[in-house]
Amino acid sequence: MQRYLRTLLRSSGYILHVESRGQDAIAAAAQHLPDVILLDLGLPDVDGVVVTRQLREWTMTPILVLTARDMERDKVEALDAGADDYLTKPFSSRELLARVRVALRHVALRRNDDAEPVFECGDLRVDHGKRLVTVRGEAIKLTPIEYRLLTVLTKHAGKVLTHRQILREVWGPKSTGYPHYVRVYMLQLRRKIERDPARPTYLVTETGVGYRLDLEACGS
Amino acid sequence: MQESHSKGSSTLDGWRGYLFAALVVTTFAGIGWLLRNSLAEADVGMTFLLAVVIVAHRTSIGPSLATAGLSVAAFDFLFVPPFYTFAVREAQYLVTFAAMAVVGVTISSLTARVRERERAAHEARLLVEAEQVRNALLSSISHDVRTPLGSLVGSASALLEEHLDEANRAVLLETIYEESRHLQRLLDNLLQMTRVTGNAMSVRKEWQVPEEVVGSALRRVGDLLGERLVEVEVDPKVGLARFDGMLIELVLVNLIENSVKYDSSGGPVGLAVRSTQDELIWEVTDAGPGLPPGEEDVIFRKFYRGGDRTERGSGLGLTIAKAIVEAHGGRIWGCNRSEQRGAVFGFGLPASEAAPPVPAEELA
Repeated sequence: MQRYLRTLLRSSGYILHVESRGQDAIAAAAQHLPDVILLDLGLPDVDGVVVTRQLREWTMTPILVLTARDMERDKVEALDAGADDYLTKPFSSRELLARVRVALRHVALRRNDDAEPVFECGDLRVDHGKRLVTVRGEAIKLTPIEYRLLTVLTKHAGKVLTHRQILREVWGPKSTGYPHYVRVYMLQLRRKIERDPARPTYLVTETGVGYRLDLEACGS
Repeated sequence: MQESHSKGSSTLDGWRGYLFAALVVTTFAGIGWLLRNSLAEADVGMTFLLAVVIVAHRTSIGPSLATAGLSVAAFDFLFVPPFYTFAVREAQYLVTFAAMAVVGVTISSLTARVRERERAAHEARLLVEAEQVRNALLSSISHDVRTPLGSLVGSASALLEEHLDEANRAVLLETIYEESRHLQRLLDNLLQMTRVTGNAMSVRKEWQVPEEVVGSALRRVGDLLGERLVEVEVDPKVGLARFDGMLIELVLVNLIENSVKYDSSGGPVGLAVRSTQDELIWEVTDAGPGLPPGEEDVIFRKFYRGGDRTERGSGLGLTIAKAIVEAHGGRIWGCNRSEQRGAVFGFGLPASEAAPPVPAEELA
């Protein structure tokens, strides 16, 4: 796995620092200040979720966690602990490079401003300034919650968001909402945005985890 | 298997044993008391011995000894002069007590030994069965793994050692990719299989939107579907339903994979969800050759494969689907379509609870 990642990432022009143990990785992150951290949750010394938490105590560097298929719980835990995204092994080189690009994009965005004033992806256009959403050139009407939901997703475009994160951002930190609120509003939003709501291309479900605004739909 | 084991549960343990002992002794003492005028003292003694035998057979040593003690006390109190006192004039009653105690202990330990032997035999049988299943599993896996592994080793070694032109290299690389994806699916299935058929399948039910699960299942089989036409039909009346989203997605994935595998013509796949009064019904249809008559049930068996086994697969997909649906208290079926060629696989999940409310809001 390490050899594969090394070869792939180096040949794509990235500079790598590799550590095999969690504690060493935290020290290395502090020393080299990388742009993106790839963290395998199956570490020999400590729990990957703990490493995520410790990193988040002092750095906002994007963390991409790598997990095995049978670690769904850990995945959500790591995301709620502050990881930015995940990849389930085995993953293709295309998936990995796409996630790394999304992470870097968010680093750049964070440096400038919080959200892009206008978000465009394929047929979807969200003008935050005018509070205007158009799909295939036509303006669509959204309820306040639908709009907030869409805004949260566009702000984190390409990144997975857990049910908990969405509930917190859309319904407020003190809300007593349930995951099914998110599901119901997501369905409504899809019916207004997606060409085929049963086979969404923009607002995709990450089963057992949450949702993602898929940048592949932008066709770029 | 399970029936023979249920015998063990007729053993009364703990306080139940003692309660049973007290009840039996009281009953027998009562009967003896009612018949005291027509029974000899020795007959009454035998009645109490019977009580000891009955208790010893159904319980363990503790209650048996208690029965022996209680019997001697009752016998002494009610039937041995001077009546209604525990005074004993003759040492022979000590012998009676000793005899009852010995009978009680002997019978209860004999019964315990028989039970223990039964349990051991039962466990041994289970072990043998588990061993057979494991062997079947291993031989099936090693066959299924060896084939793609052979292609992997072959292709990779050819790439390393032979001088091939660009086109041939591409073919081999493609082979390596496809075969490893196949191995991955096989491993996923095996993992799921051990998870869903183990005793500890954890079903995490949440209120779900069925249409969303259909969407994520279709996304997961996107590569496999390719250009195939997919017709989705979700009844607008279908609302929230409570089930484990990940597991039901897996059921759909397995049913769709199955349909695609057995319809090599590339015909359309249909996916429909509708609700009846007490069930949420999901159906996956294809336009393939359909099921051979009489195979509607065997298809759900472990490692069963339709056709001539040239189809690639683990023979586990439908078994996993069945285990998941049943863990939800639902039912699953497969049959041929009545209106046209093809098979339909469906499952129903019980819909007993009323959906929770979702706060409404005004349009912006």
